[in-house]
Amino acid sequence: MLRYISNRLIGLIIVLIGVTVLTFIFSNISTVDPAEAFARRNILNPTPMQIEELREEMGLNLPVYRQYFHWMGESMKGNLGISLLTKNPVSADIAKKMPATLSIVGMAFFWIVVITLPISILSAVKQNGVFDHVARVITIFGISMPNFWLGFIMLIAFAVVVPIFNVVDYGNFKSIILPSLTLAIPVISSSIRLFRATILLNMNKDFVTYAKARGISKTNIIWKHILKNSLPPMITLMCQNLGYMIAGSAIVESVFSWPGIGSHLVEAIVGRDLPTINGCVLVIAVIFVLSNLFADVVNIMLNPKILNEQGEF
Amino acid sequence: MWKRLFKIAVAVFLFLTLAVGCWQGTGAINSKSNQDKDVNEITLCESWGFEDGFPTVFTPGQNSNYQAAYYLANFYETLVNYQEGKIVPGLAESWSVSDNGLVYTFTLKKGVKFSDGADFNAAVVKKNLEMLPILLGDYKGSYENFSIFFKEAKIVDEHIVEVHLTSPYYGTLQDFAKPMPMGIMSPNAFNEDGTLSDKLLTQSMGTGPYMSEGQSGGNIYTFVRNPNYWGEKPYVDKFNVKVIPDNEAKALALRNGEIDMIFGSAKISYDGFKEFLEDRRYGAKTSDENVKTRFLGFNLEKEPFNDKKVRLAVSHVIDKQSICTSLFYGIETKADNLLSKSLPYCNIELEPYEHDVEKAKQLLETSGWTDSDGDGIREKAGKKLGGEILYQTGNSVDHDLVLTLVSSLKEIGMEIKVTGLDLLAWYAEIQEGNYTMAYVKTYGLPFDPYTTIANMNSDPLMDNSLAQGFAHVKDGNSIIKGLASLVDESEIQDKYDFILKELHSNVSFVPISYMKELVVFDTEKIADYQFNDQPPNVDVAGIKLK
Repeated sequence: MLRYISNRLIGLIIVLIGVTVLTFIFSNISTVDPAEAFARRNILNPTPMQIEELREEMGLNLPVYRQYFHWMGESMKGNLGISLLTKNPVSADIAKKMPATLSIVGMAFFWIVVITLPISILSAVKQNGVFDHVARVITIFGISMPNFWLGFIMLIAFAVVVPIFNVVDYGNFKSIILPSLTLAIPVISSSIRLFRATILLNMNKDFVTYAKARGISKTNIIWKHILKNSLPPMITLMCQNLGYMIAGSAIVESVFSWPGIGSHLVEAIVGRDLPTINGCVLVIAVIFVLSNLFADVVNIMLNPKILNEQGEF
Repeated sequence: MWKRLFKIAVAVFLFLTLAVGCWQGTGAINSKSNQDKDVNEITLCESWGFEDGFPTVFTPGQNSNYQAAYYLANFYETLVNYQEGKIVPGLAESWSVSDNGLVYTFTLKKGVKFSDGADFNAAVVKKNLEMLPILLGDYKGSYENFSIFFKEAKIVDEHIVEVHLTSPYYGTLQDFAKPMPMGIMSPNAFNEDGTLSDKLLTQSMGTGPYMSEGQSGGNIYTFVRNPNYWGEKPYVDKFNVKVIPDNEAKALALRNGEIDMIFGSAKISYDGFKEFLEDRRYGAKTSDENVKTRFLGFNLEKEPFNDKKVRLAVSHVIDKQSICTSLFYGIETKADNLLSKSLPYCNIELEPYEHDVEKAKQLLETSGWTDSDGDGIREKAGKKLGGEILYQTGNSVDHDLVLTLVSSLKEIGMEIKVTGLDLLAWYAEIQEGNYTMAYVKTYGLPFDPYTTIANMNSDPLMDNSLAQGFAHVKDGNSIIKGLASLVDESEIQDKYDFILKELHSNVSFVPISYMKELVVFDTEKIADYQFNDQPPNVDVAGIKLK
């Protein structure tokens, strides 16, 4: 198990190097010169001389590979650089913004688990029944609705028409509910469809027929056999969604005026704040790959046979 | 297995609860429940926070964007003010300018105190002016030109100060009316070495009607009356600024009563403004003063717009009046001059190029552009008549306007491609000259007309979209540079006459409309809003409560 985790961690480092190299390349492909961008944002009339001075100050006159190695070396020491927009250390900005994002993502995760499991099970058990049909239509809607639109509909419904929540609210439990639901609904919708399909697939497996033959009750078959075998892909999907939700929280954060990492990254991209872009991408990538690793470890803990199948033992 | 899963789930849930619990400690703010009924308190909104505090001098070293810049007029005052194209007294009761334009003598108001209790006098003004070029450093001239020409400030007596320049500059008084960077700060706003004190990160230190009280959880900034304010007490006792990045969310927050006012055309769409205008519960107002001009600029070095007749045809085919009425819902007015006549030196009669499609077609015919293959697009020497419009994305009104322009140009057989870029990419392309036509806005008050005209100088190149327009004039750069140091008002006016007429006759630009500043407010709380003389400034003293 430990060997498996250490092997995976080495793989993750390679992934992270790839991600950071790509981020650097893409940032440099852009037609916008970050030094000029910085000057334009801050000075009404920057002169070419001022822009040149800024470029040198920011180290952007160096070749890309040297910028990359310098950045890499510093980030190993925990120094992600200084943000061009906020002037704070990038790591401090990320640490400040992360809890807000984690709170909505965490809550969204809670919704996903609490809503997905019962609805999928019920839909699968009552396949092609009324409940299944209604759930299917709703999940199609849920998948198709853009996040920002859903967010505004939520705000209009629950903050303006029926004023239970505030449009702008932050720092209390109530304020997390609408943004987390908005973030969760598309994920819930796709998860329900996947989980339902996996359960149905497992329902036709031999072990179910065998269990029936042994005279085990239907409830027991579902809970003890079918669900156990349907969980691994769900756990992987959920953990992947954790990464997606952190990276994709920008729109929801913007709609709900939520000061999190997503909107921070978007601001950085618009302002060509390279240190912040690189720092945020690195942190999101780390979370993403770690949550995938976490999914695998949980799967192994639930079903150690997976390791055997992979020939690790 | 279920036990293990249950344990993991419980651990994750406990961790999340703990995290949320700790984080709740930052404190929740709800403007509706938090407001004291005996205090006249209102809540505004802004797209960004004021993390960089409240200095009047912003440079890239201190600040990340304009942050509190449009709010400075609430906390700071300037020596003079700008009012309907004229300079009127501010913290200076009166002033005089020497004949050579090198010495400005200001007589200051007496009995004025800063919000931190310090006295306002000639020594403070001297300190502020002396520190300005140092604080701006390499960015002198970025927001005003005064700091480039500033030589020294001399105290004549406690309330009289002389400001000496190295060379005359005709926009000096206009510069003195800009809250950023000319708002006068308390002597306590500076460290001993003259740099800005960190106190400014949380406090404003001016003589204006309000001062900062601090930031509370959830990105809300609170401002209260300055107890030392010398002038008439404004209606509002206290105001909050909530940070709401999204414009639609701002409109919803106004509808739900969480904020009382949305200020500024950058924060509300015209569709949103119209909705509020039709709803009797809300007041929706536009400024009388024109704030900026929307216009089309050409790359005069590239075909086909290097041909004046083609530019003239473009000018005639655009139906500005109908654009203002239908697209802008009458919020904006038709522009025939690049710089609004209400601006200093710009009241010049120019014969407008009126909407006349037939004339536009005729102009193209005489220039040799004909539709020989019947595809609706004109050609000349095998080349199709066309190009592209570069515009900045992010604003739906701009997008709709550009599409309207393209369809008008198609009417006369011109095929125009639309290229939308974000602000920074747009600037990069314009500066490189990679465009044929650009949709642009002037710098707006208080930078118009001075900055817009100054940037027509191409050495050094500040803004290619403007510099292109005057590049055809022999010695154009020296004319623009020379204008800055003129002293005699009639000479300045003559130069303006020449420049503006030249731009017009050369059809260097096609002015489209004059933009206004907007405000929407909840009439259950706010009776009226009087725009500041520089309308983009948020002026809480201009709010009348019910």
